[in-house]
Amino acid sequence: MRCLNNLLKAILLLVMFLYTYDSYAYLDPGTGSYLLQIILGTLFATFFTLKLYWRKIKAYFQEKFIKK
Amino acid sequence: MNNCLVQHHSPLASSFRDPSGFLFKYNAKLYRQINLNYQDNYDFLISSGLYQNLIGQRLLITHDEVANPEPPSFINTYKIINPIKIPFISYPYEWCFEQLKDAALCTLQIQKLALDHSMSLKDASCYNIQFYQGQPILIDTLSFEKYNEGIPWEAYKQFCQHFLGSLVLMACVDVRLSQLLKIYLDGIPLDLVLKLLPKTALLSPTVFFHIYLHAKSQSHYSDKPLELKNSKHSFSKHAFYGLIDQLTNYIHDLKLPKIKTEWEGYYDETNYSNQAFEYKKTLVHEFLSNIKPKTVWDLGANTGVFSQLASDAGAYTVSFDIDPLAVQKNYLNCKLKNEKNILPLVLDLTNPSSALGWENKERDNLLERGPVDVAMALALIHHLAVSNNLPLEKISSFLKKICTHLIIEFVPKSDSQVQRLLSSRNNIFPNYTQEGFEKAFIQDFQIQKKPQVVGSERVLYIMKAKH
Repeated sequence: MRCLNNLLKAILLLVMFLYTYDSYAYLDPGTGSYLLQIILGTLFATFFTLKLYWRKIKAYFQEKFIKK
Repeated sequence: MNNCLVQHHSPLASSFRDPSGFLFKYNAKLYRQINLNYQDNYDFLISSGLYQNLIGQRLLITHDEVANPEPPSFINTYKIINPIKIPFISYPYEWCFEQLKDAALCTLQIQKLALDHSMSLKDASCYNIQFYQGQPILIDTLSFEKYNEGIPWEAYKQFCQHFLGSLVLMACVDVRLSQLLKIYLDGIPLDLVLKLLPKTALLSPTVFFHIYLHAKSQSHYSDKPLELKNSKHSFSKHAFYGLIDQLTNYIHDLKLPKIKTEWEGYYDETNYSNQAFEYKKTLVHEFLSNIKPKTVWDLGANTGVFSQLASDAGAYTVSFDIDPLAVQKNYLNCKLKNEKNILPLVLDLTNPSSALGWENKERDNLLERGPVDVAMALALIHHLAVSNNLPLEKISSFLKKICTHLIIEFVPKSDSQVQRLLSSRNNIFPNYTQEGFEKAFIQDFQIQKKPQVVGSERVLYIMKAKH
């Protein structure tokens, strides 16, 4: 549920970002970099977990289908 | 801000941004002071085992703690350490693509190891990495701080601007764009990277997240302060590993497109007979064995064939060339052979790296990083004198500033390489003759030997700088 929430947040922000004007980034206090990581954090965590367990997941499905 | 009041010794002009400490010189040695405010982090760096682990994997420079501080103590001192000396300081705008890539991967590997030990890098600047014994290494021992779970990576923005942005531009647009790092000392602004990238580059998730969304996010929040009190915000350790993993995989797979530059195939296409080339190698080898230099600069080194001779003779050799792909070939070759004494770098001798940064003192110009025992200028002089219209006297006086001994090859007008250069120019070089060459150089050097390179029209000179 939190994953979906974050995804919706990301899409909303993406839409907001499309309409930002050039600021030439002189005044950047680092807030943008900080918050982007928070927003994308769940995504990174999910993919990393998937990658770690990929072999196990693959082996599980292979077993299931090859057995047949 | 440093609270130091010292009688005779001040910090290095380039070492002032870090509140945790600073570098200074004393009795010709380099030291780093660790300030009291960094005590906890430094102790944890050691006690957590991270320091040992990094040293073991040659990712961080080693240092000795100065037991009884011979250098005078400053105020606010916790400890003084004496790190190992890097033989030649180089900068990211002098690195070829693969060197910048390896420096980026080194940073990410260090961050991952740090996380394993509950620490994190507080900065990820290109300037924290130097090349030592052929490999990138972290030189800022004070860059680590204790990891607080939930807080995102403090150095993320710096990593994207210093490393990711420049690497993506080099790979997707043009290899020469690393020169933007000369203008933007804190990394290339992401909105600029975005403007230069083709739209197709955004198809990559890494570029989409860390360049596109990052640039837009920076721009959107540029006037909004961060409300840290909001404890709903969280960046788990798992997410952190995921971020590092994604960046590592992307950068690892990044490659330059295959393009042939005018220099890459140089050795295959010159009019050297094999015999002449081998003879030149024997001559250079003999000269180097006689002089026994400790430091060598090979100017116009191409893929480093002659730099290898200098390294074999026991010298630490910096191998300069204007062509980033030739430098890359040299670097990859050195990596394969595990060569520890050659540092290939990109350099335009007619416009060498200048002093940059605050008061123009944060990054040294080329001359400030010399002089060396021997400079080699093989198959180079005609490019400077003919292609670049530099008077021989000026070439001579420049070379005098950078070395004690000079090995230089005079390439006469009759040589096919020079003929090629003159084919599209008026021959306005009446003084470009062997006599003219000697007349110019005798002002600054003593000519010791000048054997002909048998099998060619060229003459190899060995000279000693007059003082």
